Amino acid sequence: MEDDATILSTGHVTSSESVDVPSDFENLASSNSQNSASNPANPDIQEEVFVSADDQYVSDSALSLPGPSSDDDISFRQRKLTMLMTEEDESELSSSWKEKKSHIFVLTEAGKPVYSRHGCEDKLSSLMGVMVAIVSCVHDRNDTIRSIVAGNRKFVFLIKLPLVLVAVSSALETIHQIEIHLHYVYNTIISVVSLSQLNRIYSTQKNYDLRRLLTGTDKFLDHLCNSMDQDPQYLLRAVKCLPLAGHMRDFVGQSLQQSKTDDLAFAVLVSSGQVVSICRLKEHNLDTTDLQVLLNLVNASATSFHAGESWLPICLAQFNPSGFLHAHISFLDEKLQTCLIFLSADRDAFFTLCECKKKVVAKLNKHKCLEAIHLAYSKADYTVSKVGIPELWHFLYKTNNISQFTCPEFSVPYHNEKQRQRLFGLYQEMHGKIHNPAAPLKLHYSVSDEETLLAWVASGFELYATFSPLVTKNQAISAVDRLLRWIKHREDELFMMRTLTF
Amino acid sequence: MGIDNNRVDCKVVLLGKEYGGKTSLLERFLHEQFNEASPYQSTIGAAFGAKRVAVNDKFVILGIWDTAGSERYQAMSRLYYRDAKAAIVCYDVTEQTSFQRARFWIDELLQNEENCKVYLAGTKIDLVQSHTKPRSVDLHDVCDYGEAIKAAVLETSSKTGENVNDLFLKIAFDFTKDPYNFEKLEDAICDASVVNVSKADNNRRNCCHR
Ligand SMILES: Nc1nc2c(ncn2[C@@H]2O[C@H](COP(=O)(O)OP(=O)(O)O)[C@@H](O)[C@H]2O)c(=O)[nH]1
Ligand SMILES: [Mg+2]
Repeated sequence: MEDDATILSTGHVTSSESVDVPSDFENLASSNSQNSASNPANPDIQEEVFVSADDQYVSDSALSLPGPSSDDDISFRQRKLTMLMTEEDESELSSSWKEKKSHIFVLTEAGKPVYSRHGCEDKLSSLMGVMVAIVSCVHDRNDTIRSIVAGNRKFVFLIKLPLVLVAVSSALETIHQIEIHLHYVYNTIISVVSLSQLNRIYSTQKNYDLRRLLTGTDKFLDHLCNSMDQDPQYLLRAVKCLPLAGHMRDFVGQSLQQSKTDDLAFAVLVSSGQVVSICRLKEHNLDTTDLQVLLNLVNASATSFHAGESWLPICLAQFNPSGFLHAHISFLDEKLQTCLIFLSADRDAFFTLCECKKKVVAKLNKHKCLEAIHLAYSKADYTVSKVGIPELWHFLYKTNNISQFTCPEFSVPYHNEKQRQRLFGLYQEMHGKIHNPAAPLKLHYSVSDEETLLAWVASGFELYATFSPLVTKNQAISAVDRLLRWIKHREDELFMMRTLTF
Repeated sequence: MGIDNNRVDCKVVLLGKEYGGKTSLLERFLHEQFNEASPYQSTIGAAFGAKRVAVNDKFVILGIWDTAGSERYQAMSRLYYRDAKAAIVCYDVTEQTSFQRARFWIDELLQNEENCKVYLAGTKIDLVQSHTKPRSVDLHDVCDYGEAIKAAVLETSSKTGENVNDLFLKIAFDFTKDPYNFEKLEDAICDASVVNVSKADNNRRNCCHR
């Protein structure tokens, strides 16, 4: 992950209402994107440009050295971009498309579409052309574009040449949070093609259509994007474990240990998308991001693994961005709930791992682990009432050293989709405030008509708690105290405190 | 499944265009299921399934690889058809391009594994029978082509199950007929989940006798 401190300052774009169109714009835009030349919407945009006074862009450095392209260049393209995202009469983009709160685009340096969260990439060529033009304009000034804020819209760029990732969001997320989303998208793409393969292809074929290699991968990316909008695991960068009695989890770990073979790096047991236990090589940790990418892949395609035992290459960017691990994936039950995953460095290990699976299953059965997991699953989601603090409505708790989190299910008043989304937005906002790279906070307390919110970052954990709006500060503080004790007491059940090694 | 994967006798690989019906064919054979309700799930990577089949008094374990058929895994598919005894190359009888693609796979396969026996499986024949979709691959064209490359041709439906067992039984039967394979076969104990076939059954519904 890039260092937050590299966001230096903001370079304000001239916000005069009259837009000077640089004479070379047409050339530049068309040389950067072959597609946009064929789009009739391009030529007569000047009159319709709407400039908001607080449009601004942030780049790696805010140097205002006179470069090959002027500020006007960038501001012009930025307005064009805003307009493409908002104007009604522009191209084929439907109004429902424009109403989507959060867009994610992936394109190549040459402006070729790779992925778009909403709508077909092919229809978005003019939009992508402008994006590439902005990136290259800023690049010409030996700078890297990071974000643009235009009205209530944020355009966030992640440049990972040969790929360019762009998010456009009108939600409450901070730029920093959106960047993290883009990193997840990037890592998911890398998991399919690997960094070295990507670089190899684009070093010789600048115009390669990456979608050829990504067929069938859209479902991973779609699933990821939808989850990022509602699942705290991406906000917190932590995984959720299936709550399970500590001794039972240890049995599962010991069972996984049975799979020890040459070149086996990790064995993971997952139930309904939640980690049950992990066993790993002594020398290697399974990075949280890698684990999340892996879990997303399994969750997004559970039913396609039904037919038997699956075998597929996967590149885990934190583990090794230039090589593939080979995943043996199988479900241990008919309901496709409990999934066993082996990750091996040996691409010929499939049948060896089939044998390992049998050993693991035998041991799991001996300790009746699968029954215990099913039982645990049926009561996995606890309600906040279990904590026994009436004024506490919901919370997220993350243990920092092991990157795991726990939270109760959403209950009254967050029982419907709208309320759930609102609460998630509040968590995002609080998280954004306390993790503001410019001014991080330790504690944040806010009261509204609807609820009282508290966020607290301590040395070992992060807590986000939601209370009734009537709670007093002292009540909230003592409630947090009780909550922390409640969690501590159940630590062994809520978290995977020990990972075994082979 | 209770099958000892180390003793896979006959390695079979499913090849063909995405959406051609490979996974459904395997699912029908292994689990006697067809899942029409759930939306299409493209196979990622490859999946393996094994089933024991009785041929006369012998047992053959068919170990079947279902591949994704997308470009990303093209290099990998070599891994799957290496040493394969049989390849089921699927094409959708209602889709002409899938048959062209099947020819591509066969060329590719035979370049690398010249001894692998090829079975051309036309899929989704129920769609033609029920007039849901028109046929766009002519059976006689396929048979002519099959004859040229010494491949058996069967039209199947994973939905109704038509010809699916016959296809796999034929593979097992042909396998036992090859004397080289025969040495390696071991007598096995009768198993309830086994499909039985007698010599008389074989070839019964094969459209192109050779
Ligand atoms: N009606 C009918 N549909 C089928 C048949 N076989 C497959 N399909 C459908 O065709 C689509 C692709 O099948 P699938 O087996 O996943 O193809 P694969 O990509 O080659 O593995 C799925 O929607 C199946 O439901 C069949 O025999 N009859
Ligand atoms: Mg398939």
